[in-house]
Amino acid sequence: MEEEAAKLIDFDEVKEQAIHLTENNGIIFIDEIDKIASSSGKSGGPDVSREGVQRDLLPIVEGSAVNTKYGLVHTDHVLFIAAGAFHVSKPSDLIPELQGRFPIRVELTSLTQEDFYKILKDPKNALTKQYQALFESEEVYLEYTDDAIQEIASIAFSINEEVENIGARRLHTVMSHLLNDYLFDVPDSIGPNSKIMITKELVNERLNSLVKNRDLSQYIL
Amino acid sequence: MKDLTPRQIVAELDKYIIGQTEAKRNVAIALRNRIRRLMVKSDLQKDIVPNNILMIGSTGVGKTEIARRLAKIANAPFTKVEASKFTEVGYVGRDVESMVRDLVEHAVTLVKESKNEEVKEKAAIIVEDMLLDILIPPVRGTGFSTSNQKENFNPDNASEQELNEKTRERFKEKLKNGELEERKIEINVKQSSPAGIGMVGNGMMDEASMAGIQDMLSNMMPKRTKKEKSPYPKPEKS
Repeated sequence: MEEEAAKLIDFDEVKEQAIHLTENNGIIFIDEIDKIASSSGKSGGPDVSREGVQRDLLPIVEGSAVNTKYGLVHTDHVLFIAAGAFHVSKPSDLIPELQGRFPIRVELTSLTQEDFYKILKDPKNALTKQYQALFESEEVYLEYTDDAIQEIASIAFSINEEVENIGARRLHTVMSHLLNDYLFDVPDSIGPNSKIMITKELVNERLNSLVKNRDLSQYIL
Repeated sequence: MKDLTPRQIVAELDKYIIGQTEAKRNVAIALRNRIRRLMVKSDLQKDIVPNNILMIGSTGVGKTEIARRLAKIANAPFTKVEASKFTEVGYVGRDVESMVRDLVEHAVTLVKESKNEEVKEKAAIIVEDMLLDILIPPVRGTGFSTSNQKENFNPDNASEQELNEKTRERFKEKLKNGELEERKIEINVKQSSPAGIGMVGNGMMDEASMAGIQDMLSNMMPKRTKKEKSPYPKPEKS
């Protein structure tokens, strides 16, 4: 059936439309752009993957024709979104020509403890929901009290402050550390149809020692 | 995303990403601006260039997540690349133009999908018409060709015909019951058998993943040269 459908499609038309769509609606997201910014003064030898790449990017971002197997594509109206942490380098370390091509700068704020709490709770794919779903596949019902989630958020936040700020990913490590034992025990010693209640006390009990012991948490969390 | 207003885009992003309102807003505006641009009368339209966005923020605050969700919301060709993967043109490694190629590739997939959707019904009718036509000839076809060949093939041939018979019966039922998913596979099997792939092969393919088979078969289909190859694999397998 797919073949028949394929026969009914005029591939030239597809090509044409695809190119049109690319030119007018395409979005290119360039991640880690800070990694190609060379921090000034470090020059020496050809900088193959930094400034060179930036210079290569220029014509594309500015708008040029790129040859693809479907034909020439003009990138004038392609939307580019670049993102980078700029920990080491600054946006101003990008070559000026490139800076000019990204007129809108948005700063994303660091996450607060309150944000962490919401991240744990609100999104459709929230971590707490993910774990609930995992346990539910074994017919074990996982529940959190509200202050437990608050506590997880605050622990994750304080570790981020003290050790290294890795943003929302910290929640992953904290959550998995918190629940790892349960994940191991299900279904052997925790049978189906049981309930696990995650309370504030439990969170504290499991995680506090780690939070206090900073050296240790550098490795574990 | 035809009708998503900036506000709706932000709302959509809000479902998955906490905070970062400003980034969301800017992204939403940029998305909407492209639609707006297409509405502008032609001479000015060319001069309106998109406002590219630079997002700055430490790791784990949601930059990549915004991009990922954006890809799903925007019904537009989208590629995400890591700048650190590129090298200058001329050196070993990906050059920056490859991201445009990726983008076009994605666009082609999108267009194909929508086209497929358009012709789906038409194709279904054609396929249904073709079904019985295809069903009977293969049995005869293999019967002829094998009897003209070595005797060794006869037992193989018989089982093949039997199998063909059986599948045909089964298939007719399925056709009546309208078991669409099953039917898709059966067609491919039938179509490929005139191209000379033995039943042994088909049996094995049934175990393999469905998507894989379909792709494989559709690649094999147009190549009639497979016919010549058929005598070789058969004795090996029997």
